[in-house]
Amino acid sequence: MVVHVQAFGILKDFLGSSEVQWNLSDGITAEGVRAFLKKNYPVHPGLPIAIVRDNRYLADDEIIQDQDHLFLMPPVSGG
Amino acid sequence: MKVHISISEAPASYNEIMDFLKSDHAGAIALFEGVVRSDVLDNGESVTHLFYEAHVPMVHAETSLLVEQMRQHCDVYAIFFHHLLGNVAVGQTSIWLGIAAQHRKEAFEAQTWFLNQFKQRVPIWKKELGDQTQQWVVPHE
Repeated sequence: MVVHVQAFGILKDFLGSSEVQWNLSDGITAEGVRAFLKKNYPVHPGLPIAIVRDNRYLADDEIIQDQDHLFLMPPVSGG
Repeated sequence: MKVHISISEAPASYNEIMDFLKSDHAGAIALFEGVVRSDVLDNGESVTHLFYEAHVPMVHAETSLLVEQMRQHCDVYAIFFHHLLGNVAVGQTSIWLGIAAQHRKEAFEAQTWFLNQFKQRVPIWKKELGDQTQQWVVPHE
């Protein structure tokens, strides 16, 4: 299945772009997406990453759906 | 409680903030401005600007949630929050937080609580820009 990913902050540098599309396995969870990211891109293993869908933070075990739009967020640094 | 939450590339104005916060009941108005400072980048270069980006819908959602939580333990009349997006030069303000309360103690406590929570939870990211280089700011947990 295909998911549309938009990254923020330093994650854009790791992905090489602010927006990418990934082909992922059916049934993958938010935690699985995080693992996919860290396996395929040079992301620091200890970097906390939040995943947002429909303006809501996803729990680790939430299932990703085909054609989902996901937002990947590193630790915030506003102000 | 009156609440103003905004994020854009346009700065807030002092008159706009004070007009929003002032009332006959508010004896204290605490106005915080976060100003871009010239830190030193890893390569020794000085910061000239900060670049801010955000997930705007989540900024509104998270900030509104913070206001609701603040309301439960802080007695304030009004809050004005504005954050800039895009490039902001050293010496310019990037965030405004105004709190109106009956007394200064409540205003300062609410302001400190809100800023501490904001720095941890509201999805805004900044990049430090120098003349030759740039680097994202990643807080260490």
